[in-house]
Amino acid sequence: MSKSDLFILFTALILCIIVFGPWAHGEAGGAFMFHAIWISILVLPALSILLDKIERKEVK
Amino acid sequence: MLQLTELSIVVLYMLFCVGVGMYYRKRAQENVKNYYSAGGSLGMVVSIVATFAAWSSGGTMIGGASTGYSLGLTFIWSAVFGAVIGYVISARMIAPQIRKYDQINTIVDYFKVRYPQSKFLWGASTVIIALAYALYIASQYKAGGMSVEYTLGIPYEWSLIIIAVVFILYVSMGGMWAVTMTDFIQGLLMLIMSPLLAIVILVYYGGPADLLNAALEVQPNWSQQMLPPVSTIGFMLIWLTMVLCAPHLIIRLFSTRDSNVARSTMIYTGLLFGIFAILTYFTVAAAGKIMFPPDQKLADADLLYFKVLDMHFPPILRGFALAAVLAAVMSTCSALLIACAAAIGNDLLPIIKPGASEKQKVNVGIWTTIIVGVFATIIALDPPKLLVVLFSEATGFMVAGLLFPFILGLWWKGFTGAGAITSLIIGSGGYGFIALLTNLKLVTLPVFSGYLIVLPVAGIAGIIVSLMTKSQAVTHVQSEAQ
Repeated sequence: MSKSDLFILFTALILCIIVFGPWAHGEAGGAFMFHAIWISILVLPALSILLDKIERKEVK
Repeated sequence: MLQLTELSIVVLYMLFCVGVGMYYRKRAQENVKNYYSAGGSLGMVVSIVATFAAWSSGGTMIGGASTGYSLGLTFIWSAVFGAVIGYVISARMIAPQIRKYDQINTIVDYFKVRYPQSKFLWGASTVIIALAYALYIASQYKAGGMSVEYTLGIPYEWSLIIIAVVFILYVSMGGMWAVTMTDFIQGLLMLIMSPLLAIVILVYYGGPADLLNAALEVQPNWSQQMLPPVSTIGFMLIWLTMVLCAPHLIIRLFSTRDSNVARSTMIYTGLLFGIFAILTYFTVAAAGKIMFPPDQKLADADLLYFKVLDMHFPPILRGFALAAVLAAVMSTCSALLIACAAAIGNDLLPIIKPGASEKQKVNVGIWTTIIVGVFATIIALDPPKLLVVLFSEATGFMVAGLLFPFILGLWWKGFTGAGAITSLIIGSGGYGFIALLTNLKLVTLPVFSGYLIVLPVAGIAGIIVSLMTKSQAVTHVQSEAQ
């Protein structure tokens, strides 16, 4: 497992904690979770694609 | 009353699918590798769009929006988030590993190589896959039958039969070649029509912020969690783990040209699905909330997509949108059917009849496609409730059993056949048992929360049994996989 694999796994874990953490519940947290979740859905694969491209450049 | 424009588009589309099956018939039936994994030669763009189409079922297209409408947007987005995490993990930790194994076409093939002594595991996993996928296919049939019935006015039962006949024909004739090529076209159709509907809705309501505010005025708690957090997290975990080991996605990894293509396929499919789900679920569910507020709630929420289509699209676009829904249904069903056919023809047959020829394996696959297709049609004649809930429960049952034998098998050489069998029995058996108890109303648990209990228990039990039987750990597999 490479460093970037670990970085992505760690990021996914952090995003899960942000999205589903205790602060995501309740009235104010509802709006927070709503926005945190769609941003996370886009950020995680985009970050993975970016790291993949960097890795492949380094290999070349 | 049949709508001529929509009917013509749908008929042309179905004829096209059957034509593709006939075109690829000869090539697909040459050998097992061609029939079940398209010869392992697919390029990146075809593979990404086809995988996206196989994943984005009619259930997710229609059911995702209706679940967002009924149970809140964060609930369905949680599942999407889970799937996206699954794609990223699969790209980085599964695709490169699994592609090291040559000469395997399916997940059960992998079990045969990784756990060579555990025949029970091969047979039980085959049966679990076939059973779960028959239920999954039935939920997709409902989506297809409903869409044809609602839009064209053909009775639900007949709609179901027409759809079933079309895709049983092209899958059984053309195998994975036909499945992938039709999936590619179907994926493109979905990627054009759904964002188009989303854009029309956004323009109509004056942009995303205005659309959200209008929906929240109707129901202020709509953007919050409307179910207990354990249900949301359980739902998310089911989708996450499903991406990691669902046979109809794993089979895609074997059909790509090489490990780089397999890896890119998973990452880009995750991104594509994320964008698609955010756009479609938000716009359709929010528009639905405004059109049908809580005091005038739709009796069958799964009809929401069509009601929104009716309001925002003219007939010709409705015809294409309907074709896109059918595309979603057929692409997933065909992927599930080919996975079922592979489970029986490629995996189970050699256990029952050692030395079965390539021709026999392909023929059994063809007959499995027909039998499972008909069986699922019978289940779907009495349609279940919310689509997403049904197929998530069916896959939860399957994935709870397959996850650890697959993932730990790839990453830990000390995971033994006995550990894998324990994990399979506790995972699928436990999830099925909890589902039975809750359906019989003997226990009351929030929906999907059983998964949070069963999954860790299955993993821990598998690890403990593996440690107790570590003398059986297979070491030659690692060298074979290098």
